[in-house]
Amino acid sequence: MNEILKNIYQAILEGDMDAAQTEVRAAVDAGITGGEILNTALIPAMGQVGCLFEKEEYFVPEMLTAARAMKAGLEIVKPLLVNSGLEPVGKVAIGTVKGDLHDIGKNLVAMMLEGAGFEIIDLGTDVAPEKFVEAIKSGANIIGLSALLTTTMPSMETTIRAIEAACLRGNAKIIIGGAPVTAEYARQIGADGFAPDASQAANLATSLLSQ
Amino acid sequence: MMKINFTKEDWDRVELDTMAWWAGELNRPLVYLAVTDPISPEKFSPPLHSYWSNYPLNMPAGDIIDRFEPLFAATHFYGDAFPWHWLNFGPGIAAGFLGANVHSVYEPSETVWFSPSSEVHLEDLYLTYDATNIWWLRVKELTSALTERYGGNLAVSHTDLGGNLDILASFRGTQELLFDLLDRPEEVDRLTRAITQLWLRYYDELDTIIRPACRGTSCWTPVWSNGKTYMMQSDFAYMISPAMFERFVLPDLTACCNHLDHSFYHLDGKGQIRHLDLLLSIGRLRGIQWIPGDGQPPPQEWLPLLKRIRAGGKLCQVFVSPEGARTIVKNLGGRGFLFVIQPVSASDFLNPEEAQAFLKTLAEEDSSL
Repeated sequence: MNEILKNIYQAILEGDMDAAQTEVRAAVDAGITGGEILNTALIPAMGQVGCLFEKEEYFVPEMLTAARAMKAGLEIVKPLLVNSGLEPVGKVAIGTVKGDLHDIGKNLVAMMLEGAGFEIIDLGTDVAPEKFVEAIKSGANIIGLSALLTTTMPSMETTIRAIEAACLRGNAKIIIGGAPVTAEYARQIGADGFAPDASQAANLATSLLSQ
Repeated sequence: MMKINFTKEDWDRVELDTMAWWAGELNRPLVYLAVTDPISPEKFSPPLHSYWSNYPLNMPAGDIIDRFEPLFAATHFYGDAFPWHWLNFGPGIAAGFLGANVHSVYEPSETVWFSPSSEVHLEDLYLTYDATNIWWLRVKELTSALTERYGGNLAVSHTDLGGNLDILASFRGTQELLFDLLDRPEEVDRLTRAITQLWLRYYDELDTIIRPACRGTSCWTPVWSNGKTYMMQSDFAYMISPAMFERFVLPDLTACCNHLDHSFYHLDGKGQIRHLDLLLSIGRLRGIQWIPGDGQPPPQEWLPLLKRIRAGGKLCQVFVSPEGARTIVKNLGGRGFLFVIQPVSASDFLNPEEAQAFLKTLAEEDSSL
């Protein structure tokens, strides 16, 4: 790997936002394309962050700072990607379901998905089913539903039923997650998939779109 | 005043056994089995809020207590259970005492949230005791009113003050605080040290109200001592490494343990198990409560973890079904455990003989006896 790209990769692993921006600018100045920066440094770095999280070598603070560094680098690369016509892997609308105000898990998943090349529409917390329906109408092809409480998990099912009622179920894959959520619950309510953590959510979304 | 189904002799018995349990001299578990008779919904119209913070601040304390009285009077206590009430102001009301906003939520389920009252840079954040804070005054008023009405017959809890990082997160926002831990750890150190001192001050002021009137102290979970007890916590710890736990949480827990006579830690969820070795290293920490968390198997399916807690020299509190308690006593022995029994259905144990039969079975199956 080119030395500058290695530096970008390392800056993200270390969660060093300033270094990530500096190195991405250096890469652009050196004539490295936006696509190469994205695919050779930014996305692999976030993939490695996910692996370290799964191995319990990284925890939420380290993951968040890595994602923040990746985002800072991505901001510089984005205009180049648009100019080169490189499309995002998919468009994800993500939110914590109605009645639930927890946002850390949802934010982590959004960051990991962005780091995997997805465009993100963050609907926030306490999101009504209609908002997800609108997001699909606006082109989202992945819906991510988050819940931290057993008391708010039923809102996941309500949201899926609202998407079905709007005849949009075939337009988007639905993934769910959160501390009390299980693969069994995902099957039970008709979601397309469940991920136990943010890193695996990115892999799940990628695999669902390739089906 | 409605009568509570508990006599002075009952309290004498509970005190003797519970203090022997704290000392490691009770050769059986403590079993907290409290059963409430079905109460006609008309008695609770409008519905009872379990969060005392969700009653209007201008509602007289006596009127709120009146609303809870049917509940107190309809409850029966078996085993080592005692009349206890958690004055619930939400998870970490100390944030409210220090100026955070307190939000009451009623749907889809009742809860309380805290949020920053203003955006302040971490370096400019100073948390100070405010004797005139409206939530602090309200907690003291309601604590006093409960102790005055029931005296030594009801264990009036210290309210849930919160963990140091949980309180700080109410001022920073959870995500910002997660960044702060890496970006400005010295500032986090400064604030967590300040919070520990404030926490101890709030604890002691409540203690001066509670202990002279009641027979001892309890907290937001049914554990009691004739000295100072508390179930300490750090929900924030679920998200951080053991290294961060050691730096930001352990000093606070150690300071609180040194201040209390009988301290417990609320180990909530599998993400906190990674901190267990550090917790076991706190000599004055007397016990660990294991809560597996939503969606996880019940406590009796965590026998290696429970064994580790006991082998580490700590007492252990779990919320279990009757079957769950039987599984634990058969496999690990009951000594050192405090089982808070969760009846499987509302009709369980309404007959006192049924409760006594369960306690007898539990004793017979206890492999530590």
